[in-house]
Amino acid sequence: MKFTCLNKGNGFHLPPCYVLHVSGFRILLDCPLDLSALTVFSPVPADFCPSLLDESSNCSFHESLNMESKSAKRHKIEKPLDAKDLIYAEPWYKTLKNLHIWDPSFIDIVLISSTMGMLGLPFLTRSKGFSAKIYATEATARIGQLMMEDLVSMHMEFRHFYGSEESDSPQWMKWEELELLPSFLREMAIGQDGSELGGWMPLYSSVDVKDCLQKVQKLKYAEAACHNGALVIKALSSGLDIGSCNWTVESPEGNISCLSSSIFVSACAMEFDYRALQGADLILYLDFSSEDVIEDVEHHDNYSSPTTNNLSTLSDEDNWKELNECLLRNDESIEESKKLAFICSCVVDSVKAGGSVLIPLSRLGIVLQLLEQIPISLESSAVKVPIYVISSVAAELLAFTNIIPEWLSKLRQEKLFSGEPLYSHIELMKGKKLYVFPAIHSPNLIANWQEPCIIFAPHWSLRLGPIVHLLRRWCGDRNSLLVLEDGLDADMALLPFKPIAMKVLHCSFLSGIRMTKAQPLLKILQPKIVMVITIQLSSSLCNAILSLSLSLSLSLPPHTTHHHPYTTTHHTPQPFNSVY
Amino acid sequence: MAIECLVLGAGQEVGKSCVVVSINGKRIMFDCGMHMGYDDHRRYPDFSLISTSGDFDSALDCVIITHFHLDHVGALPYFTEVCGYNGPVYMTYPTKALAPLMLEDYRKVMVDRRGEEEQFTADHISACIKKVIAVDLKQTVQVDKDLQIRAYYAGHVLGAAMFYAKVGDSAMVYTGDYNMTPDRHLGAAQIDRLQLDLLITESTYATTIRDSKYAREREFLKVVHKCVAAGGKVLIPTFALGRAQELCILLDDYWERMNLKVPIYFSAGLTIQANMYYKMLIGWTSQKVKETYTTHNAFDFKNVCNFDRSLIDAPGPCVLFATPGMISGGFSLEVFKHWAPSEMNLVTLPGYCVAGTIGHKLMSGKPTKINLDKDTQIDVRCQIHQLSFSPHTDAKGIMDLVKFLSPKHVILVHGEKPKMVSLKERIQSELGIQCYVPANCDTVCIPSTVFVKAHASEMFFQSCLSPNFRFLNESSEDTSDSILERTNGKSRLQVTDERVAEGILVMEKSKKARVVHQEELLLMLGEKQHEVQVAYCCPVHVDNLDEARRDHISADDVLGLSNKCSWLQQLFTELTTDFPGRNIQNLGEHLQVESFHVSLCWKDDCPYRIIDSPRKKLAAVFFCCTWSVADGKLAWQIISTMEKCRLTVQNLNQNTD
Repeated sequence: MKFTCLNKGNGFHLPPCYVLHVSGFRILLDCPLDLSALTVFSPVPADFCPSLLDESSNCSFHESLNMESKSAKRHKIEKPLDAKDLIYAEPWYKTLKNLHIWDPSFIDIVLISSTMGMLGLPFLTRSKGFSAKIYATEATARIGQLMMEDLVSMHMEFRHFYGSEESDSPQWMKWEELELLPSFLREMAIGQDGSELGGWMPLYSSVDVKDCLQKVQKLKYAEAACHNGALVIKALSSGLDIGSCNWTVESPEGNISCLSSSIFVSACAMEFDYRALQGADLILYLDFSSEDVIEDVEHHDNYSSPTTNNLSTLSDEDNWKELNECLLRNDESIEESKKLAFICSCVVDSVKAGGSVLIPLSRLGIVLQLLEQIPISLESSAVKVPIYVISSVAAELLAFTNIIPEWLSKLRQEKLFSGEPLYSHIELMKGKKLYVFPAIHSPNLIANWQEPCIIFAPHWSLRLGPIVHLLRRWCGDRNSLLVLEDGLDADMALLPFKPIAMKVLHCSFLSGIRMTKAQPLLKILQPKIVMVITIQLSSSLCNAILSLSLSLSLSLPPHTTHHHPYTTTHHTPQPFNSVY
Repeated sequence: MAIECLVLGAGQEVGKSCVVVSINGKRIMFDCGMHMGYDDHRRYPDFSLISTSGDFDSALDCVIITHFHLDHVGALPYFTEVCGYNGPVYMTYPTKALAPLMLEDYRKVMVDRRGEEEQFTADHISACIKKVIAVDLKQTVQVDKDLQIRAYYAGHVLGAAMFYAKVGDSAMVYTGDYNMTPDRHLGAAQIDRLQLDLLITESTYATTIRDSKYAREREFLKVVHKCVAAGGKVLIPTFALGRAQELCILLDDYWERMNLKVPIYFSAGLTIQANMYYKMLIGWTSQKVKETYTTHNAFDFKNVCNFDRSLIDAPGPCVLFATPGMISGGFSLEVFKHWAPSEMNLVTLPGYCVAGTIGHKLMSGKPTKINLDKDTQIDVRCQIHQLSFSPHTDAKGIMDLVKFLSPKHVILVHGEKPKMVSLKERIQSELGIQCYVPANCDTVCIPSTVFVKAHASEMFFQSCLSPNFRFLNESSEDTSDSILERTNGKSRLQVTDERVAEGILVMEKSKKARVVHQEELLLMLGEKQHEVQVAYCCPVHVDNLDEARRDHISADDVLGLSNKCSWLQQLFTELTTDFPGRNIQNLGEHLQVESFHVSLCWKDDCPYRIIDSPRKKLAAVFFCCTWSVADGKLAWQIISTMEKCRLTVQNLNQNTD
């Protein structure tokens, strides 16, 4: 078995990406897009007048903008980033830096673990020679398709502005242009050594998306898909978001579990089905969310020592039960619902002060909960403002979430069994509390428009979609509120909108397994081998594994994770050993 | 191990489906239905046959319910709450959502209207449903370490599923009710090609072949339209779920197209609420209906409203859906009493009515009067229309499924005996699959499959890989190879390489089975090799031996010594001419062909000698032959040649000189 890490990912929006060689099959795990890199581009300029839109004048306009900034850049060495430093061009999209080196025809299987892990897939499926079979859960495939269609439709605005461009590389990608970029932007665009430049691609079309989806085999949770009579592939719920999953691959060489970011007790998505991962020969521990949560490590140290003692004597059922209870304790979900309650209270405060609220979050589970809780908070504080959801796919997405009880958490399923709608948004829409519009210029939206209001609109990068225009409208209003998710470089994201008077609420949501739960989890799963990538804090995870004396933890040195794909070969089973 | 199949219900009948299957030590109950035609103890399956002590938890590993119809789920609350079964119960999401509605509806009819003593309460129903584990289609559920189950789409009603169960190497499918053709709101049954020991299938329409459904739907709409156009009232008795929604989609769509304004009613609360469930579960309907969910959910009926009791005698046309389906009581009976006496009105009946219900009486012949009980008699003058589009598969569908799955055995349930018997004959004669039609409380035993995983040794693999060439010369070919020759027309020399895997399967107690090469076996067992040798001392006639003996009685030794080689030489010549293809070696003291070894024997009392006549002894010399068992055939060919051939004492004269 061989294992290659293409990218370790970065949080919820950029899941890690791997290639796995098993029994002669090459399996690609996830194919995400680095959408946070979009921030190197400028959003569609606010002050452009439509008369400039014809081809020639557009060019000169573009040129003049560039000339201006170029001369400025030549003379000043380093100054704080300015909105003018951003690239004024139709954005390209950044795929994983190491993926484009791979010949797509060498891949046999693609496994998609979440909607985020799917956004780069059309780039792969449209490339020549691609013939791999793609597996994804039904829900991920459907939601992923909607996300990609939304991306394509939001991108159209740039097309209209810059006009259709030639297929070869655009102006901004020329070296002389890149060298003029401030170093910070340049590093975002091409990486430290320039290796990432090849990852940029012009966006796929809606036809590419459709073709891509046709190549996806959609599975239910725990459906056993037999690949070529050699592998049995299963998707098991991970609890991260609706439809997201952990993959298990049964091969003649052994059973492999790919443990992606997982959430034990989830409010929306079906719970993490960790019991189904029991007895695997090898667990690829791909959940890096814990490294983001520093305070947890200290907490972990206090906590783990008594547990370890318990674990070593573990043999009877009581301990087993204790472990399970430890994993399923709802402390996390209480914490999460507290966060949501806090957001709701901030929203109500802003609205009360006469400001509007912008929520560009894209996590479906979070959005659905907020859509339910904000109206309740508004009602309880006797405030009446409309809630708008503006997105080309919002109507379909909301309708879809009401017909998929099989993919939702136990709590939501109870609603089905008692005959209530799964989510309240249909009632809210009927009750004229919630409005859904496909675009910001929808006639009905203009007719209905009322301020202050609460708006859910994409895109979280703040470069695309309705959010750009709404942000421009309210960024100067100090009563208004913008809700952003952590993980995005907020300074960078807000650069084109400066100076900003509106309040910005940064929130982070649980997006993986906490360190405190990693240890009892691995104890329950009893794998022969655990494979982890060490990056700074993950070493504490390695310690956790070592203290459990599981047979082997193979950890890869951190410095190689950044720029080069590394390959490690090892055979099962092997004696205990670990690389630091 | 065997698969034991105990039929508790729906054996040679329709109603109270319940089959208990023991498969490799695991016991599963498929369906737990009730019989609508009986009011006494016969309405439930006889659970005492599962466990006499009543300890069902240890007697059963799980209960599986295929769909929400009462004849499949009706006895479940009784079984879990009254009989006390506490183990796992599996059904699909829609079944778990909809079954309690059906059960509650039924309970109300029984208790409130008929005034019967209730078998289970509303609390029983909700407690029972709490124990249910909902499953999705194709989701592989590990019930315990050994038992695996999986649901497949059955298309009969919303959420209906066929269930696959696997224990060890034995696997089976229980279909429940299914439909092999898609209908207006549901898709057709779908299943993987599985390796099965047993298939238990319904056989409601064991001998019927149905025509196009669309023609029948048109006919239904025409009849309803004609009736309301003439100012009549249409009563559609249905169960709360399933048929009601299907017909409603049909009528709602037709009303829309024809711009009809005649009201369509649903009787008290039942189906409007049920529609809520259908809207959420639209993912379980047919592809066509499913695709509409964003624009207009097909279960948002535009022309449907709730019915009020006061409307029964209100003037003017209307269409009313009322429960229960077979007019076995309840609201549909109440309305029937009011509407049946008028010729203008219409009653549509489902395709199948259980014996004993009013629906059944109306279907069998055309009665003008129906006796409800001793005192009540209803005049029936209304029109009767029978809905023949039942969501059951027809005979062709059953045969198709059986053929597709090709199980080793088939058991038919849920049908009428004569039809089932004729279907059984068809399955056995056309498909060559053993088929059974057990009656209620019968047990069918069939053998189960057990695969043994064996570890193959390296040497065994090597021996499998080594080529096994055979060269066939056209000239030397005998008739048996003529086919080969013909196919390869021109070539003179034919080379075949039929590789043979020869090994020994070793199964020891508490050890994994192994396949080894024969040479490894001894090493493994720590034994020495023994070879079985066969010996026979064969007389060969020598023409002038008698003479020679007479002349040289004392010269036996000389005679022997000088002739030993020559006789052996003569024998060698004989054998070479008789066995041209064989490699016969003359090694001086003996001849050797393969393991066959022959040498002169001078012993008078050779233990391998069989002497029938002393005369023969005088005229013969003896050759001791030994060979190993493997070459037995060759050895006896050589011996028969030897016994026939004649040698001579060649240098008799020289010796006398």
